[in-house]
Amino acid sequence: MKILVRPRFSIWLLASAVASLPSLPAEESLAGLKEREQRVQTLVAKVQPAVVCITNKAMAGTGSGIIINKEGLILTAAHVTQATGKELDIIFPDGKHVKGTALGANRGSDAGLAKIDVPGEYPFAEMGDSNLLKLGDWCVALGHPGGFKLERKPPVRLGRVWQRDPEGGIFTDCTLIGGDSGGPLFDLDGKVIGIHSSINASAEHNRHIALDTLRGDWDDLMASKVWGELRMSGTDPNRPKLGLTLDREKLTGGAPILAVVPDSKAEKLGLKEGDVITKFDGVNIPNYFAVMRELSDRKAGDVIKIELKRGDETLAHEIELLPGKAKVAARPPEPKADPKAEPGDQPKEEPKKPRTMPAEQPVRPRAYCGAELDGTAEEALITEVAQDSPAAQGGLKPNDIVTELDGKPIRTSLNLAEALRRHKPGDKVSFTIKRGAEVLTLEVTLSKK
Amino acid sequence: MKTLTTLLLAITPALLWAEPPRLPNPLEEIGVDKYGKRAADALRLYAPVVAEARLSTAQVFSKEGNKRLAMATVVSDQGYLITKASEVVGSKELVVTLAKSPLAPGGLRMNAKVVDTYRPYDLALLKVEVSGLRPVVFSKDEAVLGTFLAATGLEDTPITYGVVSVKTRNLDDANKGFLGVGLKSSEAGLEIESVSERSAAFDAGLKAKDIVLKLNGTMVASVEEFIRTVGSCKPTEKIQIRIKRANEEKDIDAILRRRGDVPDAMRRFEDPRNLMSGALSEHRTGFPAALQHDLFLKPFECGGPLVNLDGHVVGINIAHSGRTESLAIPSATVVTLLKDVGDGKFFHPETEELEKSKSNLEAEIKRLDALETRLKKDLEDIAKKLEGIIGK
Repeated sequence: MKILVRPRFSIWLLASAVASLPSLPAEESLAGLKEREQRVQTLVAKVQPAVVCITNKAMAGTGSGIIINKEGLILTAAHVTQATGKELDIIFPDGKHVKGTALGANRGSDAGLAKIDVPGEYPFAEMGDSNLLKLGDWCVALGHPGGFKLERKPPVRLGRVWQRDPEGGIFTDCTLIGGDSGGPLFDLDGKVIGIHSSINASAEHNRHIALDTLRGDWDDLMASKVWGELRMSGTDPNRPKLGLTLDREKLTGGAPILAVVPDSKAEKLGLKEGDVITKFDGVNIPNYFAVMRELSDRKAGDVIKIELKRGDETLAHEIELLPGKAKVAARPPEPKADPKAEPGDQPKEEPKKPRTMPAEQPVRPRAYCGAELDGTAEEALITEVAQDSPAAQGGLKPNDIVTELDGKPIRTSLNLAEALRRHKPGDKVSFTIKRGAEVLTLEVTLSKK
Repeated sequence: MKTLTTLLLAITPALLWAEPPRLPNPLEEIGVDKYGKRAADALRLYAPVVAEARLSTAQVFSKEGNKRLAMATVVSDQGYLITKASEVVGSKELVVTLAKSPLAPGGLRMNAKVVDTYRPYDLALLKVEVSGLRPVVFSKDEAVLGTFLAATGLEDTPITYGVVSVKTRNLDDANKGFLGVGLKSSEAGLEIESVSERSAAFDAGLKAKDIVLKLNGTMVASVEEFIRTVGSCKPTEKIQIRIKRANEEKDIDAILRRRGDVPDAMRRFEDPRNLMSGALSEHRTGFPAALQHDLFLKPFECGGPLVNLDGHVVGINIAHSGRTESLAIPSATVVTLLKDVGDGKFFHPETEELEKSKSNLEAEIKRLDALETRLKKDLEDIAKKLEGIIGK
């Protein structure tokens, strides 16, 4: 079921028999540690200035990268540039911003390239040879965990290589977190040997893309080609959706539902806030991440079986997966339809247009606001404001992030769409928004359109 | 044009996949035991490093249930230890154990009570009725970036090891100076783009389109430098900004507010993936001075000494604050807080700062009072003149 484009140059030897894993030699001593400490301090001083934060104007996400030549060529992860888009804002550890452009990306291996657009001489790190890496080799990870923070330089993390995989992965115990993606893994000579890509629950489970995986793709990456399929990213636009908002913070016992998309299939099946997904096509689901992993293996239109807990009750349902790019429409369709139309009638959709949610069947006159939301963003981010709409008249602008509606907290686009749905034309609502560093409260009078 | 939106950045979803590929063979994960930072082969190398400090290291239990709560560090031979306050204060009765040593060949187990706490650093001072304990020796040197570290426990080898990730910094966001302007660099210089309502900038009369020329008499080259300089000032501190407004230069004084005065919505966003790999310390931020390192500690492993490869104590572990980070209070700070330990209490260094802020504010009130008196007098004079003219 999983269609996977393999990285084209994946000739990794698997770690051989477990018994032959080398451990530190018996003659290793404190003197050896001191020598390593010296090398780590030297390499950090040398390469830290070349570890950049990669984002874009809309701050659709922040990742990391490493500059590898003085002209400003940057190694990063494919899922970083896939999330930010072509135009990049590159931030240096000292806070300096420069404009950059995303080049190619191999979504299968998760390797990507970018470049700085402003001519100059930039600090950079040399590329190393990840083929020479042995299990047990010491290494250092740098990056911008949690996004760019002016008050600290890219934090240093120490570790050893404990595993390789055939798809070009290096596993180390250098701990990583959101924002590190695309950042560099160094050998103790300060040469880049890997790019941070993913993590799993165990603190030792940090996966980096081996640098040599990238060499075979070099010409294509430089030619700005983008290919392959993301297998598991939270930003994977093709990953289908359930029409549910799930609790990410609970890690065991299932994935609790925080909200159900109004008028979605999930709602029609009777799924409710508080239900906990425990099985997905027979696979046990401990948490949100497991659901995402299962979804990545499937496509829109697949019908899957889910099992849920509601109190002591166990429920089983079949549900059709929705397209990943489905957006939450804050603006309901124009009520052109004949008021006498049958309740089951769906307004005809234009061909090729991605399906929008909620399903387009207003049950009562809906209030019109005129702000488009990004259904894929983690917060209620306004992407477009229709001209002369109530939103425009009230002063809302693209890139505003809505944090409250009528004093009630809004966390996601879904929250907002749902809150607005309760209103009728003519209602006056107050939006609390973040615009840059400012927090504003704006009054919007909803209309009929 | 670049608009710096530091607050927004922090809540941006930071990228990293949380769903890795399945390993080709789960058995291969065996490497973790061999190479993780608690692997026996590496810990063995650190044994000489913790030999001294572990004799001053203790473990704190709740008497009821004998639950491990935290590590502790002996700080005086009169029976005082420090530990992580939030982990121990909930328990009524505490027990402390020490490693086996020449002093106590069988190890020591003693009742302990909390005699003082110091909230900014989440420290508790414990007292045991045993004298002659061996106090830890704090290093005078600051641990630099990339210094190798180990957390001492009661055993011959450390709990775990790692490296200094970020040099000592102030994490007390609420206690940083805050002006309340949005800036951009334009051709004219640093231009104020927006002024937050009810902010220090608003009260001082700064306005959008003002061009910032100097900050406290020094030229400011970039938005970043401006923010860094303001952030390094204390709340209630007075700063002077030279601005250009409609071709006129003038100096404006602003009394900084606490960054804590910003709305909740703009507070730091925490990546839920930080919780994936095990519990974090409940109290894990806001320390006025903290050294960030990458030791993967459990919450009950905080409170003990952090040593460098020379075996010198460079700090006290105070929190496991994220998947990639733990925090330690640097030794220099701990030494200051322990100035009065002989009296069974912590020294509060912020009293000095508060005194200074107080006199700053008093002086400002005086100045404003004088200004008010003068303006009122001017107003009276004008009213009189006006009356004179109309009276005619």
